[in-house]
Amino acid sequence: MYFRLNPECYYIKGARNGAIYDLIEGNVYALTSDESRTIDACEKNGEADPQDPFLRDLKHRIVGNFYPKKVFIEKLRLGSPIAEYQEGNPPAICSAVLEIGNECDRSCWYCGQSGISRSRGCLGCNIWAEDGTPVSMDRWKELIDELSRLHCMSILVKGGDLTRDWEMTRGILEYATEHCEKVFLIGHREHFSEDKLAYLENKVTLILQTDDLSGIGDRHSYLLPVDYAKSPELSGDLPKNVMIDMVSRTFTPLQPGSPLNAKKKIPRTNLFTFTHHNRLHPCLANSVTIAWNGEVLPCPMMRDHSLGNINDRKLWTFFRNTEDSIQKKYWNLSLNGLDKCSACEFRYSCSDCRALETAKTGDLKRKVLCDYDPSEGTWQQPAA
Amino acid sequence: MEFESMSGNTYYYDNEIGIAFPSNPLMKKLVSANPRQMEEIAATEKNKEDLLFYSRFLEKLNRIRPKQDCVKLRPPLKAEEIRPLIMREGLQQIILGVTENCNLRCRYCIYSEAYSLSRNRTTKKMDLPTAKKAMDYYVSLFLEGQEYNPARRPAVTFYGGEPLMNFDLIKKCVLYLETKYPELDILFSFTTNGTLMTEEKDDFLLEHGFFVNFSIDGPEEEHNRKRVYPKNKGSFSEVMKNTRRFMKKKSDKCGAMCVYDYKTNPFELDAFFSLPDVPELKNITIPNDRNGCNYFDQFSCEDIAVFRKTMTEAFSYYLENDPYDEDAHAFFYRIFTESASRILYSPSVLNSREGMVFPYSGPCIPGKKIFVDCTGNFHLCERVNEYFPIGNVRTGLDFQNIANLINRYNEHLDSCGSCSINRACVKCYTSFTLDGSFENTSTVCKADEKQKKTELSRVFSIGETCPDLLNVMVNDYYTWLSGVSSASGE
Repeated sequence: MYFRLNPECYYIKGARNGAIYDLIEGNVYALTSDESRTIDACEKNGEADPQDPFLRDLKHRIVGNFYPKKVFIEKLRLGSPIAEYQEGNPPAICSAVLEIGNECDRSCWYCGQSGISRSRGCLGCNIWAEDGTPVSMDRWKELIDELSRLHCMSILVKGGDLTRDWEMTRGILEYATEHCEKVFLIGHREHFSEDKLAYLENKVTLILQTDDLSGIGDRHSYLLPVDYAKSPELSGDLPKNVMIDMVSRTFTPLQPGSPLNAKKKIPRTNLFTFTHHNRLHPCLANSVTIAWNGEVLPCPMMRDHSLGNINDRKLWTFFRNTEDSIQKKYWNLSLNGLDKCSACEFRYSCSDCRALETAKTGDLKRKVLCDYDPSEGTWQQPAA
Repeated sequence: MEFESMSGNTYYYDNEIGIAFPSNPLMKKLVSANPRQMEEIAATEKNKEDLLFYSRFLEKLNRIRPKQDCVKLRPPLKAEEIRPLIMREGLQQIILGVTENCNLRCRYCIYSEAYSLSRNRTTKKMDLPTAKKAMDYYVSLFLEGQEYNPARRPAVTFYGGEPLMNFDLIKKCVLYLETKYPELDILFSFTTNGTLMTEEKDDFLLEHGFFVNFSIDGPEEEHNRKRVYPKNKGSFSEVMKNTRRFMKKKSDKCGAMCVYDYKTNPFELDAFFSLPDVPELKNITIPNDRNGCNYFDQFSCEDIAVFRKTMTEAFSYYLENDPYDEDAHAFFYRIFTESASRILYSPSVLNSREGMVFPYSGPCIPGKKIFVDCTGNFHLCERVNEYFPIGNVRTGLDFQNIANLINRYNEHLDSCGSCSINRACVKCYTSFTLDGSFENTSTVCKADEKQKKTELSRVFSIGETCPDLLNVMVNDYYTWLSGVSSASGE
């Protein structure tokens, strides 16, 4: 008999162990080294023992099946892996971050100007101690036009306290909503009065940052952001277009014992993320940030990785098919290309924050905020 | 749709999802069962373990199954929707038909008497002002289009007739583009019958980065059976002399394009194209048996039966004789492995037809290529006859006409909704064009299901024997399909 995984189930090898990804159920099964060897042989059409309890268990889980003869299993996937179907295709920009300001009177401990101190800092309103001339209103509008021609799917507007020059913020938001399907505005909870919240309702999705739970709810949570609609107990009286980016001092991945990637945090998989993560970086891909001073960045938190300035060049020039394009330098940085991750069987479901990792190591391709050692197939014990 | 591999395994092609998977009698019953029949099967099936597996496997697939009957086809396109569409997805290539003349009389040429719906060979040549207007127009669209798609590279192709019969114009076009638009990295290419190549032409083409495709149909007898001068003299010796000289200068800047038919012996082609002094085989085609074509009248039923039998033997022979060796099996590798890989990894799996410009079949957006004839008229493609113009050098692309053309094309896809292989269909304009109208799919596509079964049978037979072989076309991103981690040391 032969045993083969189903079309929707992929066996991914690590340096020592393997994992099976079920792209429909979403499960990622971590295998022991013995189990990995068994599946590896089966997937090469080697003979299998129909009484093997491990293989029988996989059949019971609808992950694979026994066959009397060698078979070929066509794998389920999205799109085509053949290069000629991809050449010359336009870049798929899912989100563009427009940092239209850089001023704020608050001094939050988690603000960008204090250094990178939290995960998902990219969702913060952040200001930066940087030189430069602010991009003009007209140039922001031109940029929105340019993004529209590039079929950008969503725009995130942020940059300190954007209520200080509310007229400019309103002008840009209104222009953005005319040209883009989804528009988000990021700011601190205390900056938005009732009348501003009322103005924004049904126009944009507001992501409010806070480390103060009062008035929102007293449940401790570091699920960021919390979707208002799904968590009414956390929402207080906020309108429906508001999400809460709850920042907690008690959880930060930069503290010892709180890695970004740990045994209990392996994300589930699906057809889209599996296909996407094979080719592209799980977070940087399909995104671009334009800083308050016009610098083009791969991520709002990667301030040392400027690709150029939009005051000198049109935005589309950063996406040309050249070695220094944002796609080649950052989007294509799949976990296959990171030293530790390339040896890891979880690399196609895992998340990764290059901003945190590079802040920690100074190296674009190193991974330290992870508890797993793929060469040994072992997890570090969580800190007490 | 079910099909069998060479080993006798049965597979079920699921058209809604776009993949095939192993089938057996129980699976077959479950696939088509309604709830009441399911209950009956559950009550009578003895192998409860298999029953549970197949039922739940099909349930899993149903969760991702696109609802075919719910596809909302978009309303007819309007002219104003065409321009941004072309800016984003079009403009991949301009093809200049620099002459309608040719020094050969190839039997299967679409411009020969064998094709009544195509123009015939004439002595017309494109002039420089027409070529300049066409190139300037293409570049102006390309430059504007960069804001919509910056990843595209401009490409200019010279076409004929035999393009070397107007080589002077080719030279002038290249120098004009390089002088006027030095910032553009233009990709130049052309296909030639090879008979008019000279040292001087070799040097010019290589100096300007051309990729040259030589039309070579195989060894001398095979080539001369089809590719002949006006008095039926074969062209093989001149073509190979010129090709070998070019290869000595730069073998990686040229390739061979081969056409075969029902009198071709595939074993002879495999041996010939595996020779070191023959250019790498880049493309293999069979003449297009479309409306108005009488080329195939010469073949008897026996010819076709013999050819099919020989191809089956060739396929078995290839699989048993180191199919991974691309150099030793140049023809078999292309026609069996590459085409299988292309079928297996087509973008058709789970793609959504919702709102697509073409809900069925696989034509490109008019304007992806712009074929310019000698008089400056724009056409859909060099392979589509002249009854479907899409503009000209004086007034540019006619967006209203393009919208009408797309809408008319879609109206003729009358049987696609109920076709059992519609997700895998790659047919385009050339399959349906008449003299200004399109033929319905219900008339054209009758034998497609049988053909698809044969193709899938070959693909899955290769997969059962040498699964890695099917990854030859897959780019670096997807080396994971073989399951090997780059750092695992394997």
